[in-house]
Amino acid sequence: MTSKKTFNFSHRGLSPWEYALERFFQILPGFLSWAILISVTVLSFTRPLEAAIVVIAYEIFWLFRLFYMTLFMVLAYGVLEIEKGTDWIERCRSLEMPEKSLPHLQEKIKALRKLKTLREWFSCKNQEREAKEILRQKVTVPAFDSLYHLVIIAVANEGRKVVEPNLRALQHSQFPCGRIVPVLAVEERAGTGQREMAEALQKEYRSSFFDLLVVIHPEGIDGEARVKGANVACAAKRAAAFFEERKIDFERVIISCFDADTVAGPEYFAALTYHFMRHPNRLRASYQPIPVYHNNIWEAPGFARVLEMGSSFFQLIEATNPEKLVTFSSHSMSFKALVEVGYWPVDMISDDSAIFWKALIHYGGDYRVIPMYITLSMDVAMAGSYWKTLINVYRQKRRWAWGVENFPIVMRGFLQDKRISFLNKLRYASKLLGMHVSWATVGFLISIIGWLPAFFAGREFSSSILYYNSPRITALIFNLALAALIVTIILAHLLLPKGKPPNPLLKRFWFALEWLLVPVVFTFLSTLPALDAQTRLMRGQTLEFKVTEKKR
Amino acid sequence: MLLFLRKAVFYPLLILYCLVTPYTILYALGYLISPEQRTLVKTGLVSVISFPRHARVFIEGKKFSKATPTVVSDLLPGKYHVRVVRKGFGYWEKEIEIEPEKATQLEPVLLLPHKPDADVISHHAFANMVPGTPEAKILAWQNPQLDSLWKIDLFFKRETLLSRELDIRPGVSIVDILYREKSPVVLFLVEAAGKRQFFIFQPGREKKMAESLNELLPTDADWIDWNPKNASQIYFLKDGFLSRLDLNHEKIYPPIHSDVLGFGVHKKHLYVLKKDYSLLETGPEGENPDLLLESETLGTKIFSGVSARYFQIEVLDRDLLVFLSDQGALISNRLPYHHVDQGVRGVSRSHALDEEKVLFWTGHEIGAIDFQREKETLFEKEPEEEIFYAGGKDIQQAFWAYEDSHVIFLDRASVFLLEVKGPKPYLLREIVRVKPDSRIYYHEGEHALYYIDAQSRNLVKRKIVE
Repeated sequence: MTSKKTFNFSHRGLSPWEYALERFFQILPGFLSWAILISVTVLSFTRPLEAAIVVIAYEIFWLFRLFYMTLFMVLAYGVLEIEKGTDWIERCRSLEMPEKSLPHLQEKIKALRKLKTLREWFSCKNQEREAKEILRQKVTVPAFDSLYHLVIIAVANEGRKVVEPNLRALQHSQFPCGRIVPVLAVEERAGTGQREMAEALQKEYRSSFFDLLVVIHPEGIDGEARVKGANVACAAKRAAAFFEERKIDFERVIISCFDADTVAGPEYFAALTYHFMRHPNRLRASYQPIPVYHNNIWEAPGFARVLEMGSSFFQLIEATNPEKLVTFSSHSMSFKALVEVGYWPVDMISDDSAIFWKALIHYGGDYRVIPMYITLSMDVAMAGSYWKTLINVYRQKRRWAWGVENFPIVMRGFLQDKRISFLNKLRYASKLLGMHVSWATVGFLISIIGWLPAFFAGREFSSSILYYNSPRITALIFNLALAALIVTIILAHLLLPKGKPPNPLLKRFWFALEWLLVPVVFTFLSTLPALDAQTRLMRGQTLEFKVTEKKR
Repeated sequence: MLLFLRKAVFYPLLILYCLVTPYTILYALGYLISPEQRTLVKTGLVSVISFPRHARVFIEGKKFSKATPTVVSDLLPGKYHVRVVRKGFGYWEKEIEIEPEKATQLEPVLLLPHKPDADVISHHAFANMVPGTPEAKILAWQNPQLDSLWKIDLFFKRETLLSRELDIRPGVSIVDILYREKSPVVLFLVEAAGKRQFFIFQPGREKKMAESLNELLPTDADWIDWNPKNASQIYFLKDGFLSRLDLNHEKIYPPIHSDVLGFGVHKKHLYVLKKDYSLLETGPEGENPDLLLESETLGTKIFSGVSARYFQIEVLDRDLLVFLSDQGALISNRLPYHHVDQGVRGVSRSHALDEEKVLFWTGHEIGAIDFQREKETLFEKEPEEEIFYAGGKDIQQAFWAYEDSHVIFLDRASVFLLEVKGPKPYLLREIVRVKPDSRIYYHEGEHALYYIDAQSRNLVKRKIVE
């Protein structure tokens, strides 16, 4: 238990040995990314034959990976669709007495065995499986009526136009609003205007909820950086006092940390409650919805639309692998766990993923992320003009990629921890490192460097059989990859909000064409920012938290 | 459930990847499993790009389904007979050797049409011509008299008898012509009443005959040269003095250098080889001299044994100079320095800017020096030299064609197309017969040959392939 108490989940306050270790692991991802890019580039000039072989092997690897990801993207989308019409409140209630509800459910399943009701049938089968699991594991399910939702909404410079829909969505929640406590976590540095806006919203919406708190995060607190984590941690501490005053046990509180632009669907909190209730280790878990960027999807430029859709798909695929799932963007967790782990890190930009790693190390590996096949809608990072949006999106992706800052801390934590098995450490570390290195290299390798051996072929290589065969193989691989792209385009269309655009057919057709931008967008607005982030971390630079401008 | 499915799919995919990748790489390298021998065998391929495209490829008499450009792969090593056929064109055939893991490139195969696309540019009967200027003009004359000189505008398809525009008096005969490719200036050495002088033709700046006749430029100069992009400055070498004629001001300046053995003009630089074998690079007026080669060392070793009255210097790049003596000795600043001892009649650099390749020809031979390709020797690396053809009778002109894959040359009164790339022996084909003692001009951009027809003596433009 010593490591649990002493582990410092921060880049600051380290001993010289810890600092050296931290620097080594800060350098490692960037070093590996650059080493891969440079070595393949150099190999393309010096040993094009060997480079072409490496490129072929890499491209086949990505083709297989693409097929694999597309398959699970389709399956995850299927689950998302299946659970679309689910009455989560009813499910929560039935979870309280599974032994009683199960026979009814089984009868219902029999009645639903028709093609017309296939979706409901699948949904009920899911419910049946989960109910059986609860009975088998003899899980004590908390009472639905005893649970509260704490929703922290981080507000920096977002206007009322962005924040208010968030509260209105909470107001329309299927989960009883009387047990929802929204907290507007406002940055003091944003100015009095923001404070006044928050207070006006509090006045207007307070009566709709159990309570609505406005917490002003003071600027310049010692040990804090100008990051969202510091703001929401401050709000969570204030909320802890609020629940303590009312003698509400933290075990009965589920906290959701939202961005200002996050809009939860009416079913979100009911679904979250269900997932919380049904899980035996509910207090040692985070709950991850699928983020979609639908709030302003039709107003956003094509490149941003494609990129954010790609992010949603990535989360959809990740959801199918809960063993390796990490919290991302707006997410939920047990409030008890949040308090026990010491809230979000106050000096890290990637608070969303950092809280998972912090909890994982705090609980000696006994922490997980439970995927929820339910969406949370957010804004595409628009900023007025096309050019500004481009910069905005680039900065946002760099901030996301700055999640690599977790790697040195996690590695330090793993080295100190004796409770997590070596295999699990290896699994998490390789996933974290592999994901970031791949993120910073794949776009360049496939879109640019992969073509170099043929492009800069010398006399020797250009008269080799490989010189002729490698472009043919690459073309075949790209054609096969096109099949995956077509599936992605179809899913993207299915996932889009229904009937919103002014010129639906034209807009949707144009949207399909925009997917052809994938190689460019992916390389320069995903891979490049990731490489930028890793290079900065490698050089010991810090990334200033810049609030992504969001305009509607 | 999905987690289980993930694992259930992942491991078979991993196994499949481990099988597919080595197989694909081996296939890419040219390995195949021979059904007869049940072992891995190395194969080769042949890539065929033809002009015109969509020709059929026959290998050992077997027709391949894909038309050109195409790649025929999975060929076991050995000799194959390849024939490329397209309707309306003469076929192309060759015996080629397929090597394991190697690609034999037949790029490009030029198919000559049965009915050539020949366009009569001018129906007058001409004696000779000189190639065009940047304004796409050809100068052609009907007889050796200057008043029979025509200016033919290829773009607007207009022809003008210069004597109608200029005051060209009769009795002035053309003795010699000096021109540079892409230069707007053409110098005609003319003779009238036993007196020789230069007639300077500058399109767009046509002057009266008297004004165009230039007595300042010595007719007995050893070597005259100018930068095609700055044709108003004409440099000439006479009695060891290098001087400059300014056409704009019609003025000859005092000699820039004395004791000069040769010179060349390249961009804004003048390259001067002195009689003591030192080599200088200077500005256009001789300013800012930069000593490139000191006389006592390498210069003496390179130039002292060569009997030459003067050298013309071709600057291929700032670090690659070619020296051609009046006796036809071809020297460069790269090892082994001496490339051809004598008899070289002309040199032509590659059209490709990134290539350091020089075509040269003597009366009997055509060859090239590729300064980028280096021959492995025991001591120093040397540029690759290759004689493409050695059966010429009296080769007058030669041009790189089709991105240096072919050479078009004039031998006596016949124009030939010679392959200089791909498997040997190089194919030689006669394209056309032209009027004896006339020049030809090949325009690489248009892939067109301009010549005076042997029978009609008309000026004809002919596309080599369509």
